[in-house]
Amino acid sequence: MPANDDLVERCRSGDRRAFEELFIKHRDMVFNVAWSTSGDREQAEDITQETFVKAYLGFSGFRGGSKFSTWLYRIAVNQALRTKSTGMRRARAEQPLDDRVLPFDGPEPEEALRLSETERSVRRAICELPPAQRAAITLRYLEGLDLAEVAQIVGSPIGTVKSRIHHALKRMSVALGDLKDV
Amino acid sequence: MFECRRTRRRLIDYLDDSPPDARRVERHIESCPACRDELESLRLSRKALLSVRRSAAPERIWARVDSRLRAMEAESSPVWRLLSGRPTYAFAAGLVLFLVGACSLLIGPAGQAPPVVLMLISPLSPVGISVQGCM
Repeated sequence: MPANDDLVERCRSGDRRAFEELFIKHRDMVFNVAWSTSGDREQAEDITQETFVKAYLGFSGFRGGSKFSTWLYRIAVNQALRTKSTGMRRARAEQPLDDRVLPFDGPEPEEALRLSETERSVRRAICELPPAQRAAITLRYLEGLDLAEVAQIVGSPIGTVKSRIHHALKRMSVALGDLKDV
Repeated sequence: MFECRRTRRRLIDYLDDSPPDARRVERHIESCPACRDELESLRLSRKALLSVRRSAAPERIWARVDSRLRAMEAESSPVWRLLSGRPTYAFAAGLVLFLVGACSLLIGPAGQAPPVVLMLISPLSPVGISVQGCM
């Protein structure tokens, strides 16, 4: 598969096939960040869609100063946080937590079977965190990025990111108290 | 107390990267049950998070992205912009279409004027007479 730089260049000249290749390479990453940050699987699909549409329309704004994946993560996280803050999820506020966090009866039933009880508990615990903390721990531990890259994506100093991660882990430990044998 | 605050600020680094002053953090933790508990709770959550596997994005998302982009491209085409971008252009385009349609109806399919037109333009027709009469 071609390198991101080549694909981005081709996308800039309107090559839709190149854009599809970029999509295939990064869709899981964007979807997982969107899911964890928004706390809503169905909404994560909308966020993923919007992220790629914005990326396609904004290739001229990507100067290559950072990695393409960092730029894309940033769009996804901003989109997820904006979606939450604009109240688009208010309509689902009364939906049970598990219906939002987990695909129990969604279009991918095999996904629900695959999730272990531990994963379910962890996702529930993530969902209870404030959005900025959610974004920080998702990028750091689920995506495995280093603190500097997380800070670049969320647009905050490294110290702030560390503090958010600390608070998030502490809050989660209360919810995960019965999972000491994880 | 100062040492507790200092240690807690370093716990994330300690968990993730083993910073240069790791030995100092360890010494404090050995002697401070509160900081030890704090470290254990962070470690528990971190371990749980690392056990979460990534999910595959549903295949249908590409179709939605592609369809959005096609729709946006169609909307940005010159014809669409002419018809929908500015109301005055849309009105002008509609007027031109109306006049072209009206002319083709008046002239007729084989270049011959239909009876209605003949009646209107003939000086001997009742309409022509009545028009002249009015004048």
